[in-house]
Amino acid sequence: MSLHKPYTLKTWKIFAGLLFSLGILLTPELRCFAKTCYVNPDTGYRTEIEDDAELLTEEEITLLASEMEKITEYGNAAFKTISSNSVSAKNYAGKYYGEIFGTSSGTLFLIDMDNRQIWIHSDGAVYKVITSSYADSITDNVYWDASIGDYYTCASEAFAQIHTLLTGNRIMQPMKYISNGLLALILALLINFGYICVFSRLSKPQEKELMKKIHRRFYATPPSATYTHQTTTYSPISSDSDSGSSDGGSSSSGGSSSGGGGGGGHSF
Amino acid sequence: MYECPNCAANLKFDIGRQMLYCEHCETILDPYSFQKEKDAEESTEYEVTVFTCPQCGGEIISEDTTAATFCSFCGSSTILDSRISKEKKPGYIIPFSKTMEDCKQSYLKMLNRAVFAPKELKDTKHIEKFRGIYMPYWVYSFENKGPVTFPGSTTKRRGDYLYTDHYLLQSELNAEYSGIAFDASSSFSDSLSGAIAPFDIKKGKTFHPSFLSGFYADTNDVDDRLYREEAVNIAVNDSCRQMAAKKGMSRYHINGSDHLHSLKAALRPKTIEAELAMFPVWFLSYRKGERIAYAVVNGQTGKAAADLPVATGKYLIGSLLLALPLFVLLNMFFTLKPAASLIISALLALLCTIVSNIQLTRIIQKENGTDDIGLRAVRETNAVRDNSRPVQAGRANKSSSVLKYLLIPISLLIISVLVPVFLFAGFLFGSFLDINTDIITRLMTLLIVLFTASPLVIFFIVKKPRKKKPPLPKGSRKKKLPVLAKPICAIVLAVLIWIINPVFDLYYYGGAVICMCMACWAVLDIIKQHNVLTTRKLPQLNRRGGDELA
Repeated sequence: MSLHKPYTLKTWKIFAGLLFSLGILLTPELRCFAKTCYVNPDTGYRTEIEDDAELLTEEEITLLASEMEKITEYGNAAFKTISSNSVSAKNYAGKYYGEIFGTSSGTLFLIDMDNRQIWIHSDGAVYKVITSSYADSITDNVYWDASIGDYYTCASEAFAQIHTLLTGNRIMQPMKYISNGLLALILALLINFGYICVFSRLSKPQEKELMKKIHRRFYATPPSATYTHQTTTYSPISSDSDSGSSDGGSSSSGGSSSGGGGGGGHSF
Repeated sequence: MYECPNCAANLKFDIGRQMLYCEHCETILDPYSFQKEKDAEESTEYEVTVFTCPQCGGEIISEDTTAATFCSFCGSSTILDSRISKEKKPGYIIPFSKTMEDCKQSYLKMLNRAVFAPKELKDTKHIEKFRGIYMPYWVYSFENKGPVTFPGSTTKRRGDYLYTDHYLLQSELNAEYSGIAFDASSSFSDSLSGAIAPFDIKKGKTFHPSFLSGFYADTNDVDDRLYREEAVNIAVNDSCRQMAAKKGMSRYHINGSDHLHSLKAALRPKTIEAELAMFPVWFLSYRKGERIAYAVVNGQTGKAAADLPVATGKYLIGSLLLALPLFVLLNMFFTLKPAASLIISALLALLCTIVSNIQLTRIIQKENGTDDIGLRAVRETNAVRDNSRPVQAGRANKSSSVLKYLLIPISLLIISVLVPVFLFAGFLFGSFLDINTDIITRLMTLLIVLFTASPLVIFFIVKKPRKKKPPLPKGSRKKKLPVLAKPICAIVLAVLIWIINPVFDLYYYGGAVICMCMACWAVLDIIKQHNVLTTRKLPQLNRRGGDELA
């Protein structure tokens, strides 16, 4: 009788499985693969964090994940970083969002280290609030952090502003108001100048109007026409036969597979 | 002065009655019934009192010997010098039919739409200074009788060919035009006289000095030959329209571009006559500093026109009020990205530069009298009389046309050689030297835009102007530069920022704010220019040969 229980096939399988799991956890390339951090039990919306460019520490990821949880009351939330990208940040964000959330409501914050761009892509009900112009404003407000390498603050602030908007509050858009204010002023100055030009113009009367006020008599006998010569000019009739033809087929807008979504971004 | 035969008081022409009227004994007399001893019917001259302004030299004549207390031309309140003089008798006169009250109403109605005009223009005391002045006009009469011959053609299509049959058309013509009028005083600007035209010549009467009683009159100092060609053109254009509208003419395309020149030559009047006439104008001047603006009302029809300067304060307040809803609308619908803000502000600055340039050109033309045929002619006459050289416009014309024709090959050189070289260099250096390709892309985009726009620019530069305008005098560009430099510098800065494409928004917004501030500044300059255009320098008329630029 043996003191030790012989290792059965089942035991080996469990052992191999544990080793494989440990390996996955220790391998950075696989560690961040579409990590679902949280699922809101009430709404079913979830948060996803995928730091492929390794811009955040574990601690920062944990912190960010907890901050993103608030957004799941309104929709999904995802954070994605990439170090290489063959398409634009906008197209990548649209495509990636479609892959993880489909057409479900939510928002994605992308840091594209290849194009040096940050991008917010939203869809569904969230997109009605986080519109492209708001996405532009948010990225305008946080791009500075990305420029100085503080990616956590950048993402954290972006999600905080998204949450602010989703809760019905306002975010700071100082430059929008300054530039729109100046633009409105110039437009008003120009419109008023146009008005001045129109109403201060000293215009002469038309010749026909002048003719009504003078003594005028015009009589001419019906003309006698004498034929002199004929000239011929080559003037082909332009053909319209091919204007209506078409090769058929259709093209689809590339990039985004999420349909009605959209967003905005900023270089850093 | 016309004395009342009953009470010896001064008889004045009464607009309502269209008769001479004595305010003391209410005697009414036919203007033609009166005859001064020195105003014999057959005489070509009549005796009047000439009032001369000691400040500007402007002269107005009157039948009344009562001292005139202000000058309508320079706006100064002063007792005008008076003397008796003989003036050439005009052929006929259109008496005033609109009273002072009618005139004020017309003027105020016109001012209702001038919301940014200075409040002084609407001031009751100011409006009381309207003065009834008979303005001298040259009235042209044309006649063309006899056979006229002109070409015509009909066209038919057969397959890919057009067959044109040419004809020589002959017609017996009897055309008469009488009453095309142009002002004959250099102190009355063409723009104002044109704006209150036309006068109904059909209601004109044979001139009699008694019609002037109670009013003033300006004398003519412009030769009748100056407007002759313009008047002929008006008559010929009408003749062409009439002839083309004749039954059976439409098929010959006589008014088409191929035959129009020949038709105009055929219909050109054979007899041209010019006669001096007096037309009624209510005249008001508004003086501010060293500038003056005029308001005129047609004394026959009540049509009003005025130089309408802008009160800068009112304009700014009005613009701020309009800016508020625009700001709300912009915030509702637009969130401009930094780059978009920069580009839009640069485009607005460009628009302001173009408008400012147009205004400055007009100012230079106006200050040199090139926009007023009568004034220009009088200035040239004065220059010859004073043995001084007139403005060397011809020289400027020659140099500018040389520049214009040099511009075409230079532009073509840029388009055909430099642009491809830049593009090639951009690709080459961008690929091999690892230069920021974004900058090169933007630079190339800019070059492509210039490449695309250059034929358009060339077209506008070399295209034949619709109406030949006198060239600008030498040094005009130097006058424009200080004003245009501000927005242009802002545009250049914006383009540089756009090409460099910095990451930080601060540069974009900074550039956009600078551009917009410069655009605002440029708009305020434009308003100043508008005020220069709608006012005039104080006249120095030194009758006759009025030259408000002296």
